Amino acid sequence: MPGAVRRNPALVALPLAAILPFFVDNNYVFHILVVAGIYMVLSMSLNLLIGYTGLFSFGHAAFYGTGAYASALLSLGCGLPFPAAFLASGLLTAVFGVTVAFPALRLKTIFLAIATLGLNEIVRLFLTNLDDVTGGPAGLPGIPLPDLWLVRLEQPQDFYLAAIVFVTAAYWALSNLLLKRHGRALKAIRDDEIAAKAVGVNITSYKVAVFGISAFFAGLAGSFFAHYITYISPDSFGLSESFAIIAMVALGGMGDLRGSLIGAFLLCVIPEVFRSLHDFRELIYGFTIMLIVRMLPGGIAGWTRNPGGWLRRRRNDDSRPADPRREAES
Amino acid sequence: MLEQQLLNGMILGSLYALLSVGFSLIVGILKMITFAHGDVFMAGAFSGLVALLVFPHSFLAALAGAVAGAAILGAITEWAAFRPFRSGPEMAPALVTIGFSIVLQALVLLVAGADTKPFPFELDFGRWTVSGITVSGLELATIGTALAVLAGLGLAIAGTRWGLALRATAAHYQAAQIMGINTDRVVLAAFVLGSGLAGLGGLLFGAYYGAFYPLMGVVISMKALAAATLGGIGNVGGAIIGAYLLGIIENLVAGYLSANYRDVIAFAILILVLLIRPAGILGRGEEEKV
Repeated sequence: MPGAVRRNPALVALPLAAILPFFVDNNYVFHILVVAGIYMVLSMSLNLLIGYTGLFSFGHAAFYGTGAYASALLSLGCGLPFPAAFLASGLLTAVFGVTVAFPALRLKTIFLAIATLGLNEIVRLFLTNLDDVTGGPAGLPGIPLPDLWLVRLEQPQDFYLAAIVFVTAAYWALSNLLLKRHGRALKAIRDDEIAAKAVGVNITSYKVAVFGISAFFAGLAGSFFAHYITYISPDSFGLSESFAIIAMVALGGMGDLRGSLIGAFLLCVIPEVFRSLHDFRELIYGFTIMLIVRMLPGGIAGWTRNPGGWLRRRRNDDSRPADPRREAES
Repeated sequence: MLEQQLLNGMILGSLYALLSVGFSLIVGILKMITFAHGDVFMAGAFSGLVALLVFPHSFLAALAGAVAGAAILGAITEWAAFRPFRSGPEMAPALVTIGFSIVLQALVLLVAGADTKPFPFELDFGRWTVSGITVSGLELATIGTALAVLAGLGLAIAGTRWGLALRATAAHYQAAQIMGINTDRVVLAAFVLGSGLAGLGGLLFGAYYGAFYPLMGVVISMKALAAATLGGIGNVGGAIIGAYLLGIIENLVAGYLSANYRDVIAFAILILVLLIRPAGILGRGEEEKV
C-alpha cells in the first residue's frame, strides 16, 4: 500500500478532503463539490476512451443519462433499494456500452465522433419521446434519496462524503487497471493501431472492454446524480453535457486520470467563482475552453510534466512534422 | 398531401444544404470538424437583423448582413481554432470550436436576450396554389436562392483556378503546398464561403419559421452534419444531395409515420450510413495506410 500511495498522491488527497466539513458549513459549497465529484468520475471514464485509447466518443452524456434513468426507473418502478439500483444501473450501462462498442470498432477519428454525437441525440430523443416510461420532456420527479442500511443521505454534506468515497473508489479502480500492461496496451492502440496489433495487442477485445468499463463508471455517476438531485429530465443529458465533459478531459490532460480530477474540479468551480457576473458566466466558460486548448494542448497534466514547455513548443512543434517548410529549417 | 410533403422537404433540404456544404468543405480540406458551424449560422442570422436596423425594410440588406456577418465569424473560426493546429492533433480544433460555440451563444444571449424574435416585418412575396398545393413566394425564394447559390459554388469549384486549388488542397494538403498553392488562403476561403452560406441559411431559416433565438443553430447543425455524412462527408455535391434527401425523408416520416420521431430518423440514418458505407453516397472510401 505505501508504494501505491507514493505513486498516487491523489489517493491521499481525495480522502483528506473529508475534513472539509469541520471548517465549512455551507450547503452551497457542498453542492458544488458533489456536482464536481460526479463530473470527476464522468471525465475519468471518458478519458479512458478519448485520452488512453484514442476513441473519440463525443456522446458520453448518452451513458450518463442511461445510468441515471436506469437507476431512477429501477428504484421508482421496481422499488429496488439504492445500493442495488446503483450497481445495476452501472452494469446495465456497461452492457449498453459494449453494444455500442461493436459497431464503433469500425469507425475512427471524426467518423467515430460524428456517430457518437448521433447516438447521444438518439438517446436524448428516446428519453424525450417515450412518455410512458421516461415521463417524456417533463422527466422523472421524486427519485428516493439513497438509503445505505445504516445511514440515510439527506443533506449536501452527507452527499459530499459519499462523493469522496465514490470518486476515490473510481480513481483507485481505474488507476490500478491502467497501471501496467493494460494501460500500455491502450496507449499503444492510441498511438499506432497497426503496430499494436503487430506486437500482439488484441485490439478488438481491448476496445470493447474500454467502452464497457467507461460506460460502467458513467452509469454509476448517472445513478449518483439521479439520487442526489431526485429529479431528472432529458435536458440534463444532451450534447452540451457531452461537450462539457470533453472540455474537462482536455483541460486536465488526455491520458491522465489525475488531470481529469483537476479538469472537472476547475470547470465546475470556475463558473461559480464568477457567479456574481451571472450574465457573463457562459462567456467566460467558453473563452476558458478556447484558451486552454490553445495554450495548453497537453492540458494541465501535460503542463505540470513540462512547465514552460508550451512556450518552446509553439516555436518548434514536434506534433507538426508534416510541414515541409519546418522540415527544411531544421 | 404527398406533393405538399415533398415541397416542405425541399424547403428544409435547402436550409440543410446551405449548412452541410460548409461542413463538407471543412472536412474535405482539413479532415477536421467544427462544432461552431451552427452558431455561426445563428449569429449570421442575427447580424442580418442588425443590418435591418441600418437599412429598414430591405430583405436584401438582411440577406447581405447575414452573409457578411457569418463570413467574418467563419474567418475568426479558422484563425482561432484551425490555423494554430494545422496537421497537428486532430481533435484540438474541435475542442476550440466547442468553446467558440459557447462564446457565440453567450454573446447573442447577452445582446439580444433569450426570447424568440420574429422577422421584423411581413415578407409577402405572393402566394400561389398549383394543383392543390400552396406555395408562398418566400418558400420559392428560399429554394431558389439555395439552389442558385449552391449551383454557383459547384461551378466555381469545378471550373475556376480557385476551385482547382481547393480540389488540389483537399486531395493532398502537403503536395498542394509544394506545388505553390497558398493552402492557408484556400482554407480561409473555404471557411468564409461555407460560413457565408450558413449565414444565408440562418436568415432564411429565421424568416421562414419567424423565429430568431440564440439556440436556433444547435439541432439544425447536427442534422446538417448528418446530411453531409449521408451524402459523403468531404464531398460538396454529396452534401447537397444528402441535405435534400434528409429534408424529404424527414417530412415524409413526419407526415406519414410520427412527428415525434422525425429527428430520431435523421440520426438513425446518420449512424446506419457510417456503419454500412462510411464514405456516404458520393464519397470514395479511403484505404488504410500502414
